[in-house]
Amino acid sequence: MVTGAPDKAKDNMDYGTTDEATRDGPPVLSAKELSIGYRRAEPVVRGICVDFPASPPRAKVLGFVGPNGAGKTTLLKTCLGLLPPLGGELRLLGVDTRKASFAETRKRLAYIPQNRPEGSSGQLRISVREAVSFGRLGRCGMTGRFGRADREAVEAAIAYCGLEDLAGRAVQDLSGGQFQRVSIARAMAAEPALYLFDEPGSYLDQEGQAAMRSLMLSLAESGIPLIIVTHDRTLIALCDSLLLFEKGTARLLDAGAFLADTKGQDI
Amino acid sequence: MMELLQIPAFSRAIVALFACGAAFPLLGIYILSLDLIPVRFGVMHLSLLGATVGLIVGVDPMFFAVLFSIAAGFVVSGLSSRASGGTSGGAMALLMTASLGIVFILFYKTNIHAIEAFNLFWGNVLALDRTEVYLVAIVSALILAGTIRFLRPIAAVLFDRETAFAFGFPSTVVYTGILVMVCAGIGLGIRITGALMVDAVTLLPALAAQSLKKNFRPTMALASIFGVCINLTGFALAIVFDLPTSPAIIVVGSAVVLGCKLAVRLRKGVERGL
Repeated sequence: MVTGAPDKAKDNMDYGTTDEATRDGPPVLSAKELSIGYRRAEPVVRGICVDFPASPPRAKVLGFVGPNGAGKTTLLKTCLGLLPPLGGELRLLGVDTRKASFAETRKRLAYIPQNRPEGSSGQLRISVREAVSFGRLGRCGMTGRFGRADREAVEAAIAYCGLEDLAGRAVQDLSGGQFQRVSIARAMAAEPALYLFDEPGSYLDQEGQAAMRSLMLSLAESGIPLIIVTHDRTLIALCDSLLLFEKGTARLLDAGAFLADTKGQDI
Repeated sequence: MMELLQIPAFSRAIVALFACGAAFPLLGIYILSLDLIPVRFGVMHLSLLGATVGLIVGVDPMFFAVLFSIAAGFVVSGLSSRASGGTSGGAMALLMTASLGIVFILFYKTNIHAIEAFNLFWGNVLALDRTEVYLVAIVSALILAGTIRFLRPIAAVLFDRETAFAFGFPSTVVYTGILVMVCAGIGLGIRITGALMVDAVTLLPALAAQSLKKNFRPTMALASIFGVCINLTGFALAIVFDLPTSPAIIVVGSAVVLGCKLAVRLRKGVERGL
């Protein structure tokens, strides 16, 4: 369990310090008249204007909420550089996602996808340790050759997420909850400046969801900002602010006020 | 037997079968992991176009076939390489049909006989000349060296290309490298075993290794070992029982795949019994 992660492993990880970019003050996420969507198609969301500041020492958590198909995951993929903005400007950690220099910024992001990879690729039998090590690749150049620091970061992330006993197992043999922990360990191994979660825990049972929330809470307390795409009220409760997607646009709200306004409603 | 090995055609065949047996099954793992099955057909069509161009300009059709196969790798990567995980199927279908149309226009407009170009597809390992064996050995060495050198990045891209990109890794470059290796290997494999039997040196050893449910690195090693064993055993059986080489290799490969699957079932049965 996450809550039982060894203290030694926690001590070994440097998650308690905020990254220079967030400490110096550029907003975690800022957008001006941003339109997002898929190439050669109408934008899914237009006119997003948001400024989500860093506020150390406590990291902030931003949630993307709204109905299915409203553009939450599309914005997350745009943040990651998987989709280009269709118009306007998007900056992550102060860097414009359209600039060549954003390739360097991407190495400081950690993406935790919703699902296991699908199709034949998902059948490739990768050990937990190997899967966690992929989080370091952005720092290691083309050959992916690891130094001592890389190996230590991987082992510390495995220990932090309580995966030591599973490290040699193939990820295909893991439960949904165990796989999500592998995804988080991979993200932690990257020693990122920002975590981006895409609907964490959506396919987990209650126990798995509780473990996931506990891990996310410990990440938030470590001082590194989080962006979470979610429908889950308990995860929304972790957030400071929300970007609510509806009717082709998105606006920033206070998370507490949103929860109070939507009490008893499905999100 | 030893006398046969002293015949240049036989010794060249053994070198080629050993080299591609060690390297080409790795391509099989890539093909299976990235859903590149249609790419095999596409590369065959591009190879035909290359061979036809080679015949027109008076250069070894094999050389041009491999060159066009490599070009196919770059083109398919360019057409399908969305960082968000675009597939190669549609791109390959376009290349396949377009190249076949051009081939038949070239047949019609030049004095090339179609059968000369199609000869490439009836590969025969015993008909390889010294240059072709060198080419097979060099490409095989490059595939092995490239795979060993870039094993972790390759594994990351095979496992989840989109997430690898999201972590700041140049996954598109690695994906293109994998596609080029696959296409070059298939282009050469066609000459060694024939177009219809190129799976014998790529997919069958990979299938056998994957069926044993080991993790990525042992699977890659096993695929190479199976590839060498299948090729050399098939070749030996072909000589001893006077069989055509490629079908003998295919039958041995199929038997190994079935044997591995049976072994896994037996092992599971024993574990349940315990």
